[in-house]
Amino acid sequence: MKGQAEVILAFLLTIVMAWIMLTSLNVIWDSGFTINRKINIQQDLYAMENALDGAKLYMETALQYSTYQALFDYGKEEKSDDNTGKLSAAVSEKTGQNLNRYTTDSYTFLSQNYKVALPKYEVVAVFNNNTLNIVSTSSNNFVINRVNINEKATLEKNARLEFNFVYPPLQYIDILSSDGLNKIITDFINKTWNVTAAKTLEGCENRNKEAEDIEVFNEMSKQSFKDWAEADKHFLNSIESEIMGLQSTLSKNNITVNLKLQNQTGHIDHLCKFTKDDKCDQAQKTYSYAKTCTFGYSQTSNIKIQINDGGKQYPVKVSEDGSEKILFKPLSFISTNNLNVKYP
Amino acid sequence: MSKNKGSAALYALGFLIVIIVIVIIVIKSLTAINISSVKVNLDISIKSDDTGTWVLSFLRTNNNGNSHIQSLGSVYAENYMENIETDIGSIKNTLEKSWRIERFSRSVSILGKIKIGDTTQDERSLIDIPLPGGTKTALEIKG
Repeated sequence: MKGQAEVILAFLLTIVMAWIMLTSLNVIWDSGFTINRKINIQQDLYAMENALDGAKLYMETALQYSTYQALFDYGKEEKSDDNTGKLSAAVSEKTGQNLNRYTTDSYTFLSQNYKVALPKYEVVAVFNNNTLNIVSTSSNNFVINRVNINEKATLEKNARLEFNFVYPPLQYIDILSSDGLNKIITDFINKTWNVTAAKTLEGCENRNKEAEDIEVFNEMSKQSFKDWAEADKHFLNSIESEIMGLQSTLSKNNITVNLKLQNQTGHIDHLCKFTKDDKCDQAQKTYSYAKTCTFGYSQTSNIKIQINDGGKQYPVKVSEDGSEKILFKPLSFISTNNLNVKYP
Repeated sequence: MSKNKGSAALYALGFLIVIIVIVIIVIKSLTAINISSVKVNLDISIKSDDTGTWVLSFLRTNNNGNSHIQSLGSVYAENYMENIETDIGSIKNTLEKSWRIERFSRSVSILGKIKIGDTTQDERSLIDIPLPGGTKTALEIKG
């Protein structure tokens, strides 16, 4: 009986030892614990992914507001000799500055448990016809971290943003730039006024008569200017009419173009030479006089350009009555350009 | 005889310990195989975060060229009624109609200017919304 008791005791000891060893090796509970933890992490990942999508939507909307503000601010600035190249550089810089105001704090989605770190951006604006393509890139991603006891999860999403904005005034900015308007004036002079002209007098009844330079110009232009001052005035007026005519040509589809020509000066240069063949005292009785002139045209002025897009208004920050407000405003564009034409 | 019995018991104990160690090693390795097998074949069904999914879809929705998130942020402008009254009306009608059909009790509000829906539920979520001018606010969702 005593021996049997030792065997039973040894058996019980063995069971106890086995229990201790199994427990120490985590064989019994380990698998169930691992599975539960995985499920918790995956539930968090789902909300984290939504938070990253929410952050991207937040920044895409911020980019739209930033672009409206950049175009509004740049449109109002006093500037000269503007063209799409300068506009592109200025809008890129301003949009970038505006956009990065939205990234100073992290983005919160649903609760403080889901906060997404927002990166700093660089913005490049490219113009194509009347559309502004804005691409915002960052060297960093959107990042969200979730830390629980014994668990840590990090998710990232590419932070690249893109926005295509139809900005109707854009289609006129190059046309109304200094280069664009100088070309319009040059083409107009080329079409309207000749560079060379000649006047001839034939017959002995015209003997001793000579043509004045202005008469040569009058014959070419089919006008009757008394002097060059009058011709210069007419020439400048014709250019102003041509430029002002652009207002009605370009104003369409809710776009209004206002132009004001200022400080206009200019004149018509004339360089003439003549030939005379007088044979009235001879048997032939002929007289021939020819005067040939070369004309040069020059004009300088400033033009104030205002393009209003009356079709739609955008929410922007404005300074009015000494305070800053958020208001819906049209995106106008104002510029003063220098016009300087010498033809030919 | 009792000495012999005691020795036999000790031998048996020693033998059992060796057997148990071997069994533990085998069980441990088999368990490891089973765990990896469970990891691969486990079919986990996770209930989606309903509020997060719904609100993302709602904010993305486009109406007259403006997304809802942009229309909601634009109410920050003083003269917003002259410009996006139609958009806000459309958002209100769409939400109230869908909540009525789906029997949701939920409300959405922003900046104290817009409040759509009504609920007695206390569950409250906040989602950042950008505002014109470089700032932000939170869209409050209840329910």
